[in-house]
Amino acid sequence: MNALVAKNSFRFIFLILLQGLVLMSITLDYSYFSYMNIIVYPLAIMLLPVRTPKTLIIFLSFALGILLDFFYNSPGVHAATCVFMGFIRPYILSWIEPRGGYSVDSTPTMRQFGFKWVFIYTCIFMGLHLFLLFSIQQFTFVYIGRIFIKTVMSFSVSVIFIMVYLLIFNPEE
Amino acid sequence: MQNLIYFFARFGNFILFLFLEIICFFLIIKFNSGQRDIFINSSGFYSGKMFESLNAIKRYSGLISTSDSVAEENARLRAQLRFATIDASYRRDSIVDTVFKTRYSFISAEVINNSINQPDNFITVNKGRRFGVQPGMGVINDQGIVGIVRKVSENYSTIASVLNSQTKVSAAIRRNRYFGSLSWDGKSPESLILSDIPKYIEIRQGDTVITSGFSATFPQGIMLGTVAKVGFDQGSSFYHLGVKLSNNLSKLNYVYIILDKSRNEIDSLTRATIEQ
Repeated sequence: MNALVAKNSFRFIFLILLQGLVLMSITLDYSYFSYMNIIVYPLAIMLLPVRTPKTLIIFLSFALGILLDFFYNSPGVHAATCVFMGFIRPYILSWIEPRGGYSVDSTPTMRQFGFKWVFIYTCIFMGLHLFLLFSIQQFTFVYIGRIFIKTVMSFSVSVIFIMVYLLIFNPEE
Repeated sequence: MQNLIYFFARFGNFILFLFLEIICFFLIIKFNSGQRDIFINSSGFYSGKMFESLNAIKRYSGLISTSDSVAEENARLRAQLRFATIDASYRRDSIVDTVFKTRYSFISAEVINNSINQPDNFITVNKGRRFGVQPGMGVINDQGIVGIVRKVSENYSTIASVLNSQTKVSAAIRRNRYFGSLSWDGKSPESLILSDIPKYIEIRQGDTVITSGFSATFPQGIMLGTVAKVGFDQGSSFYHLGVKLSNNLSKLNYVYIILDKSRNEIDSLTRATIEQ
């Protein structure tokens, strides 16, 4: 139990630093590639154990978003997105629930559910997260075209990064 | 009590979610200038559209009086056309006329939101940056002065009307050309205060007040109103004149935004002089 908390806390901090210090500053300055943002920090919410209380998930998401906002200098934008994703995570999980259901100590990882399931989970989660993030960034659907371009560009590269992360570290819980 | 506990057990997470989202959006609007502008600007997209459709109804109900005033104005403008006057003053030759080059041009705009009973009143019109409107331009209609452009978006602009504590207009008495500063004390939408005119000048009730033309905002000679009350500032050597506004700001439909072509030149000259 304590090891679980420690691992998740460590991942939480590691992802914030990775995102805020390294990935945030990576931008490509070439036509449509400039719309590309590498976003991996939602992993900290995605990889929480399935049985985590919903209230705790929402609070953790808020904390994650606010801390990221300090790096991005955009108070509230990431936090609003994260709180929504934290709130909706249980619904996503129950939507793609595998045939056997979840057990008490299930964690949405490759070791437990396999590559394909994790890939689908990541796609749904990141798609929603990025679309919401860029919508809130623009704050108006007048620029719906730009929101879509940003979402699509960032989605592809972020999902690749997240899958690579999961393959490298291959967390068990 | 049991119901309350049941309610929180059931909807507690949703309430927490809503609460945190509200905090987030508060932060977004408070600290991100781009989003704040989108949210606040009354000349922004959605509120502009809403005001516009609301105004379409209002305008329709006021069509008769509008067409009357347009007709009146047409008649007056026709009277000023060249063929309506006798040109006896000067001989036109092949001289390039640099004296009478047009200085002011006017952009006609439709009022889509208006208030007169706030401490600071603003008017929103349906012409913006795209049509050449810039902050600081004067706004008039056929009966007199309306206000000064405050903020401009792509298609709309907000005007601080003369019924706004921050609007100050340089005004003059038409009879003797003495000038002062016209402002609003926030009381009645029909009366303004003209100050800074020295006491030794003779002022009568009913004197006409016009714009002085000393600022680059309004041309000289636009009707402001008439002196309704002659009073004195206690312990100072200036008049405190109550001016009855000639223009009825509660019935605005169309206004003209004044584009002064010499404005930049005058402004930069003034600034250079002050800095020296």
